[in-house]
Amino acid sequence: MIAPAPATTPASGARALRVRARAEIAANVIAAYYGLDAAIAVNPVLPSLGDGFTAALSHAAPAVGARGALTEQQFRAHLASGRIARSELAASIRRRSTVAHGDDAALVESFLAAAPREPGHERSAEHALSAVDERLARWCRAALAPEAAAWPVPVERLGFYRAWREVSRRDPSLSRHQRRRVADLPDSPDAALADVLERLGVVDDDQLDRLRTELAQLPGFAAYVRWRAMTSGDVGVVDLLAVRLGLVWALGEPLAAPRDVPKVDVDRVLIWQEAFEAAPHRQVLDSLSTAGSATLDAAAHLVFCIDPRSEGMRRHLERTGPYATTGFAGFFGIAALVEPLAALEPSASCPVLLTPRHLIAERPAPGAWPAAGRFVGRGAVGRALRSALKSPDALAGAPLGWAEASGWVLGPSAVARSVLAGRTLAPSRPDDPRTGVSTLFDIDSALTPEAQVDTAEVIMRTMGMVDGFAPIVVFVGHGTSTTNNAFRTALDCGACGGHRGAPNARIAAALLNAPVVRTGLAERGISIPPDTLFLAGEHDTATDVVTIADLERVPEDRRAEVERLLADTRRAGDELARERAVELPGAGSGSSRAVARRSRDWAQVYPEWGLARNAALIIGPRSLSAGADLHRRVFLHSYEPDHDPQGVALETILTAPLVVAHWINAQYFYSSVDPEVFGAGTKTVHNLVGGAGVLSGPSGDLRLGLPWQSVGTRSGLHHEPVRLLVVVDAPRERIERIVRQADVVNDLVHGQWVILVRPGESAGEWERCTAAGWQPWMMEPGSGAEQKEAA
Amino acid sequence: MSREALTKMTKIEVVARTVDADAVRRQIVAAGATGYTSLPAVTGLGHHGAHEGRQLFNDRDALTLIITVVPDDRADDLIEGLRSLLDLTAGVMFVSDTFVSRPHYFR
Repeated sequence: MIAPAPATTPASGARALRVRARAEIAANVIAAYYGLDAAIAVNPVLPSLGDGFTAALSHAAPAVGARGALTEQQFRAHLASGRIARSELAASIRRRSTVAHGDDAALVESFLAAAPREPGHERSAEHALSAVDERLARWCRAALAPEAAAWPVPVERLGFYRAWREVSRRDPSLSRHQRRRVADLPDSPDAALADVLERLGVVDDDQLDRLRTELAQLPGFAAYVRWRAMTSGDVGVVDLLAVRLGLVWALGEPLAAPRDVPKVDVDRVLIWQEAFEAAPHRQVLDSLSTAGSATLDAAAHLVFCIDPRSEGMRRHLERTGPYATTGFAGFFGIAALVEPLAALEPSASCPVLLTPRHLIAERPAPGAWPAAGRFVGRGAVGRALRSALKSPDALAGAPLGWAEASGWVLGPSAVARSVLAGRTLAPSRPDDPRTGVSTLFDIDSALTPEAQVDTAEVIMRTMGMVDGFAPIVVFVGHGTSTTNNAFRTALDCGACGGHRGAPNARIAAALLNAPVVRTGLAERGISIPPDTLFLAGEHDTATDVVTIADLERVPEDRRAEVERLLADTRRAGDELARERAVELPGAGSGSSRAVARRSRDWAQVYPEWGLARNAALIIGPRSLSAGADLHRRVFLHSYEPDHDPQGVALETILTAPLVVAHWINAQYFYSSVDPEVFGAGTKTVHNLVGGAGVLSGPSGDLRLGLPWQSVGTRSGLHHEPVRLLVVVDAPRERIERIVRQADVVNDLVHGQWVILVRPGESAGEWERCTAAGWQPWMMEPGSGAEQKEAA
Repeated sequence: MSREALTKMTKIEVVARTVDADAVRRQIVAAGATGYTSLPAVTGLGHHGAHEGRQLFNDRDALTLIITVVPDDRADDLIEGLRSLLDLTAGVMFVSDTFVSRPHYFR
């Protein structure tokens, strides 16, 4: 047996275990929230994935008091502006109704006239916290982020529930009667929960619904506790419910009422939603139909992350010179705990779908120890300084005095940061590839030669890169340069678990350059020419600068090639920055330098748009999309169907990158359709709760999802909440087999979370994978004029 | 070694979706079991058809087998707790008598 149980855990009886089971299932009212230290995009109603998108509209979103789609008024505004074409709306009505007759105008008028009397759902005021919510939220802040708590609480010693019980039985803000009630509660959380439910008369059959309703009152903390239960395991949903129900009992408050959300007319919402999705989806498919061909005889081949932000860089780079590009999940197949040189601890630099399989540490290169020592020392001094500046905050009464004493020192610094606005910021993150210290990732200590060859083979075959190698191949990860931004990791690479992608790129390149790996790959049918050089780089998505790492190890006779490549990435980056600046609030037609400067401005709430407006995922050869301007709205995963007759690579792509792309798409979707419940609100009033998350203002629930500045501006939504169109260039049978066998793909496709299409028999035709088989996917004609007008 | 020299206990095995495996493990710990063994990415053929093992880049959407051994007097509560969990989610449970050589490990 492994993993011994904590010795202090008393055995729970059958009654408590039954309640515990219901609490565990009730937690499915909301998905886990991963906090800010490594912000991972997730579908907030992920536990309901198997029930489908429709059920999320009618049940999963309303269960936490949220909307699952835009409101009737918002859809009508899009119709009025021309964003939704009347022809698209009519087509959508026809698809969903067997009795829809007449011309487009008549259909649309009749649909609009049938609107519910109270269209949509507008909240009149913020959800007011009950006394129980207020106390529970306060306890969660103190217990889940004790470093941010005003007073120390004995959570580490006693656990979440027992510490609350110990503190509350002496809490002077409770009456003697209330304190006695707390003291009478059992010592273990599941027994306490069972006890209170019994005292309150909640019978077995009602307990699951009751517990769901209770958790739905503070979905932010519930979601965060779920994540802690999955990771450190120091708190669980049973503890949270035990404290909540303990408070209900002690305060004599009523049990929570289900969240007040009007009934959803699901069919009507789906008609609107499909009409809303038609234009961006058709735009993607139209672009593909007219795309050019991929670059042959490339001077260099650059492998980017599938992230939509890479699409812009790839497009501009391909226009700049003879370069081929590929899209691949940005962890480049390296499922590892990565420990950068100056990091305090390793972090999982791979998708959360994966358990890290290796620990790979960064070491100084031979001869670089003195420089490495200085770099690590600078990091330690910086941390010590920050800690010293921050420590008075933790002492009661000290912050005011500290501000008086230190303000004259920190004031000029604040003025300089404001006036200079990021002009002088040097790289300070340990995983930044521009540290100036020569280092290596120690892959030999982490992977046996056999494992190195296995990993390399998976990388190359999944990318479809098995022959025709360019003289230079660069793995280009991505990360972001932004300051004073609590949501920074949400802008880093999701495939790297919310971290920068450079370490993974460097490990993958080192692997592919290793002689033992080259030999092993050749034995397995992948012969890489001896003069093919693998490099690692990183695309900074806030500045559009591409950095190539480990330049000092490029052979002398290859430096000119690399310099040419770097010069071309600079030109491509400049073009991309100008393109992005048009959409960034206040950037106007800013230069690339101006875009870079605003990314380091500590007052800038829009350093970049991240993955806003994402709308599709294309899985296929680059020839399918080369030359197309996809407006940074499309995840691009390369796939060569001819190199994958068994469908192994496609299965890998559909069960992992597709899932991650959906999570991201769903996070943006729900943060946009209900920013109050599924979004984090405006950054301007955020208060940090340790690394857990943010509050809007001084109290309340932990905010889920993305801040408003990731999805919208003062003028309204920038992101368009559309489901992901998934284009797969592969034979029908291969796709069908994977959809049938992989539950998660089945749920996504047949649950209508994504719209999966493949090319039809003729050019410009598409067919959709549905539960009823492949259906022609109609490209509604006749709306071009309206669309152009709207654009 | 004959069975007489061993101590009779109860072995409980649960096959659950990996996303639900944590809840199963917590249930086992809460019932007072001193440990468990967890086997990720198990494969097989069952009520819902064939289940492949771990996907190449996805450990999450797979099945996990969790095994624990408890003294007989602690078994019924745990079985009850696990049944309550499996009534509400996918998964199967097998309960059998077993014999162990180091009984103090499991008490």
